[in-house]
Amino acid sequence: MKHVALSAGLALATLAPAAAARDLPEVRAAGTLRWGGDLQGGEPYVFEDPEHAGKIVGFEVDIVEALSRRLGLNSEFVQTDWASLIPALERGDFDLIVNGLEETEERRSRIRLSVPYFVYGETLTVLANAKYTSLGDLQGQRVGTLNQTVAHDMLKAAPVEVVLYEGQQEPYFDLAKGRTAAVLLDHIIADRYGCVLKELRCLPGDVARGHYVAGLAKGSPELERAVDAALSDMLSGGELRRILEGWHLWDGRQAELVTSAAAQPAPPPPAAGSTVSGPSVTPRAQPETTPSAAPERGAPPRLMASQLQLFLRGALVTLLVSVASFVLALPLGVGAAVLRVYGRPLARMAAAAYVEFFRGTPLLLQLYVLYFGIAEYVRLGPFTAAIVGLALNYGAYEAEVHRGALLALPRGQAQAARALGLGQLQALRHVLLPQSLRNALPAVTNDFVALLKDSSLVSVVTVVELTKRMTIVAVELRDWVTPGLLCAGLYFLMSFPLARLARRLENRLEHDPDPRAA
Amino acid sequence: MIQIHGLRKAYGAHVVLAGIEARVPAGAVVALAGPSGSGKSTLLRCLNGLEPFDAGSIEIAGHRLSPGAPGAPLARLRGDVGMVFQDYQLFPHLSALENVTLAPRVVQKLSAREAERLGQSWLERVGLADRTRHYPSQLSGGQRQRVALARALAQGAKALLLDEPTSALDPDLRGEIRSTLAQLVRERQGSEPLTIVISTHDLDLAHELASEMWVLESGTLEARARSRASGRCQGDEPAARSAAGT
Repeated sequence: MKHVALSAGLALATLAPAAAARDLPEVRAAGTLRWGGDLQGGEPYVFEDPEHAGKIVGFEVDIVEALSRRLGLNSEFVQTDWASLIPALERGDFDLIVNGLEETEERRSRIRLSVPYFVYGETLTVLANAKYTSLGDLQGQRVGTLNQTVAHDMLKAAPVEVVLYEGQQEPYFDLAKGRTAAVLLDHIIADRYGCVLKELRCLPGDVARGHYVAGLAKGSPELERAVDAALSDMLSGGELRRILEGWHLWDGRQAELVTSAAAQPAPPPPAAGSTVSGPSVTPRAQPETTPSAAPERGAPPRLMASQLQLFLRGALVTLLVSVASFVLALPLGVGAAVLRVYGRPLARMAAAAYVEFFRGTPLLLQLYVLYFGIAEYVRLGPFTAAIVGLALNYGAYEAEVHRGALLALPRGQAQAARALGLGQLQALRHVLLPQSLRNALPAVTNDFVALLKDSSLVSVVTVVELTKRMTIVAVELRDWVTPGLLCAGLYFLMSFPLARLARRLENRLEHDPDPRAA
Repeated sequence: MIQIHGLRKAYGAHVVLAGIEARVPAGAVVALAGPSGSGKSTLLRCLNGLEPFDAGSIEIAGHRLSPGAPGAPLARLRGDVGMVFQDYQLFPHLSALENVTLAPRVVQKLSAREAERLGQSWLERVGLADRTRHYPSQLSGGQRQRVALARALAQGAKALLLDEPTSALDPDLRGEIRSTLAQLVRERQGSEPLTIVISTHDLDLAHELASEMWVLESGTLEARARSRASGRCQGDEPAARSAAGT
């Protein structure tokens, strides 16, 4: 739901005129340089100072502050979800992105990129006892990374199964638990979250290298020149080095900054003698790891049949996960409702505790706990965790629906069943539940449709369902409108026939136009 | 058939039944009268264990009920004591026949065919042979009442408790139910007599059917009057009606 709303918002953002960007004179007039990033990226990029609540620190904070000082400006941080940084820049939420933005051709064709301020190396991390020595050894294996990264682009071009995560810690957690064979990510992330785990080993030598750059809107050439000049000045004057050293980030790789800065501002030339024009990474090892199907610069790629097929597969995953979890949630909910209404005190309390707990905590959190939190004791696969999580959460909602439906039955019905000599279970099965289930049907249908859309949350446990597929394709196409509409259409195609089916079922069960009349 | 000793029942401080003493011989038809809220329904519900009571004892159709939590034999008691509720409480999701066959199938574990044959014959006896597939919502009030009657009797009841069987019906339909009941009583005279307790405001019904008349007031059976149409010849309808009219 959140994702759908997000993509709809992004679609609108894309439609809005890009004239919102401010250039240097306007920024100067305002006196403040506004820059975007995502605090969730964590240490050492931009993050909240654990010792001073509300204070933002990080090597990128230091860089932006130095940059602003040189431009005679104050700086102001604007928190934005990482995946939305570029659309937010385009709609003028801020003037500049500084948040581990990798320099790629795709991004260069959409926004303006500054000279680099950091050189990262793609680091391959494997289990400590694994025999793998390069990406080439991992054919057919599951390899984890983050969405919308250069590492993701590289893995898509490699013969491996890509597993996408939302946060930086989770890929290494899953690798340590043996759910994946390797993780490919920037060395900053690998050094902090992966290489430090005793179960894991980071392979020596970068798989590829690339640059972090600042992103600027297309309509601000003066600001771009000023930022480039300031960054180059910081590099030649040694300030950038001091900042990076302060964060223990200065290493041999950063020597490339000097040569790279010398080559600026002209964009890097395409790799000689090949059609490769994807991310401007410098392959260090296997050349086959460089994306080969990357789009031509400037011409946005169009939706391809293979992507359409992936979309349909995403829809199928959504449908399967939703149906499977609802099939579990329904009896769970009915059982909890029966216990709450007819159970002994202890059973009543247990059922109430279950309902209140799962209804009162976020589904997203429950999915995290099921997949990552309890992995030490119970190792659930992504699909199992997704289905169990949704089932437990929706079971709690179903319990309330059915409790209400049972309580709405005339009391005399239970008494009449008892007067006929039916035991409690017999009365439930033959008299009470058939009536309450029918009365609950509209609410149950409603819940299923809600679940269908909430199932998009299971992408946090690496299940690529319809919404996740939409965001992946949208990034590939640099367009949110077409994939967004396609995604919305597929959700509708799944939920609408269901609503019709439920209505027909209701009608079929409608022996009694007025339940009070009997 | 039914023996009640010192039956007490209170809801909090409100005493509903304050020491009921009564005896009903097998085959008797008792009309239980009394003002609204006097506890007629409560007494009936105590008789088949739907309502726990505070003190005293009840013996009905060979089963004994004691104060407090009703125990396991209740299912068997209910096979012998049928109850028809004031508002019928038919199961709206089941057809007339399914309403009648539910207990035979589920409680007495008859096969579907046996249960159906039994249900069919009971519906015929209450005059609803052509309404077996109808759902309660498709039946008139009197027809629903007769389905409820057939449902209570299909368990093989030896005693029948009727809670205000005619109060929700207009006068024509009251006559219909009266004659159905009268016919049932007539049929069951002899080796397998049917004992009936009817709570009612309907004096016609009381006069026509009842061999005894109880009046429940202030928690006790205040008066125990013989109905004028006493004896076992209630089948003579016109005579009973004229007797009631005078």
